[in-house]
Amino acid sequence: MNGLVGRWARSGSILAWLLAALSQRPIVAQQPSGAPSPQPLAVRVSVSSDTILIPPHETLPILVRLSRPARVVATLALADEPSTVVWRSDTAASGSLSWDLRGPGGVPVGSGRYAIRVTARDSAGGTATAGLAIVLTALPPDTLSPPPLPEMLPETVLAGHTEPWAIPIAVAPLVIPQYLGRSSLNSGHPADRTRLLVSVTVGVAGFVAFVTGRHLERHAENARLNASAQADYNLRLAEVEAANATARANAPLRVQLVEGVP
Amino acid sequence: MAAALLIPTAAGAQSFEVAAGGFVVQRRIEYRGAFYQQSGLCSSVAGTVRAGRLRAAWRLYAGTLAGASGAPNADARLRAEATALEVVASPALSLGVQREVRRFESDAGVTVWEMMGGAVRLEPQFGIRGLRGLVDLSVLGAGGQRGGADFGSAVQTAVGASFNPGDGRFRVRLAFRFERYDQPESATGPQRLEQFSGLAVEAALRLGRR
Repeated sequence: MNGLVGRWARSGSILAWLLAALSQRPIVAQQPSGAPSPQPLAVRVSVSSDTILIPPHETLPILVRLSRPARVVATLALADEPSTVVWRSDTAASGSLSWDLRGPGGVPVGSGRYAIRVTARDSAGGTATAGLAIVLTALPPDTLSPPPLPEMLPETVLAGHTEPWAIPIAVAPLVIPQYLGRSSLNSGHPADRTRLLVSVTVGVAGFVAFVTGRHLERHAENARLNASAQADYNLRLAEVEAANATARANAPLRVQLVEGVP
Repeated sequence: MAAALLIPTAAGAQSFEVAAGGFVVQRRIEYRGAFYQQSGLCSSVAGTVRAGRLRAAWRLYAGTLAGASGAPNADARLRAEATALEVVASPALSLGVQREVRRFESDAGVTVWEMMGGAVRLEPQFGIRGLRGLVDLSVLGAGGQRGGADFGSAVQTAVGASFNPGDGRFRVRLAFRFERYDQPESATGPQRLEQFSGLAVEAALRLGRR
């Protein structure tokens, strides 16, 4: 897209520059008192009336025409704050100046209204000025959408959890009196029936736990796949973010000539 | 199965637990060739303080045991107080020492037992959250009847299960408790064999961090 806009901008800017040259601002000339001059110093400035430029590869051509050789100082400042100079050029020749669409320190300028003022001063001390106003509009950069989030697999799964402890513990109350007690105190006497209650209760609880018991178990394969997918996503995201950062830094600027000012 | 007992427990836990319950006890005695049996219900209260891996427990249970066949198998009032200091090796295994004083009071007089020994407690998980088994074994090798002969064998055991529903602050426990005490023949008297068994139930409330 950038190439298409660039070609359109370049062909448009040449045509617009020619039109603007015909409708340039009136000349303002001053001569030192008492110095006869057959041809007063005059300066004309023009830019393309409407163009789109893509920094940093493209610059805004500013055409300066002088009636005779003179030193030219051109400034570009905020229209509402003339003291805030964004760009300045001081050259001994007339012709085409070029603004790189950057402010002090190479920082891209934002949208706004700017004033271009050109002052010519010849060797005899004569001066002439001309100016015009432009509006800069930052166009949205051509950015990429972030990659879709990877589909993660569950890293823990519910797995059947069986513990065999219930079996010996359920059996223990039934056998403990026999093996731990004295036979003379147990043989021939009715058994303690509470042991049966405990045995059955533990047995039922153990059976329920055996059937329904679940616990979270780490799924190593899923964890490995997730880590790989996350790393791949991070890499693609970093690439997109880098491309978008470049696109935002090089967002196209629309330059429009404002009639009637300054 | 054994590995489940060795899972390290979190250090720094501090908690206090109070419990109350009952012991439906059956006491059997063989003395001078005669067999005696008593039964009754003992109520119990207990408190446990845990700090890190150390756990201190106190338990008191008391009740009346009624003789099955009258005199000389008279009713006896039982009061037992036990203290224990345990090291919690894992959530399922603790080891410690235990001391117990047991007092029997009947019309014939008062008898006091003093016992001390080691204790092991296993509380393995069954597979459902909060449901654990219980295997408690104490071998009280030192001690005997005050003023009488030492025990040749003094073993206490309890097997059952406990359940902590919800956040685990409340616990119920059901166990079969069995105790055996052998008093060999000595200069102070003939051989005396005793056995306690029965159903032990307990409800407990825990305060503080696990």
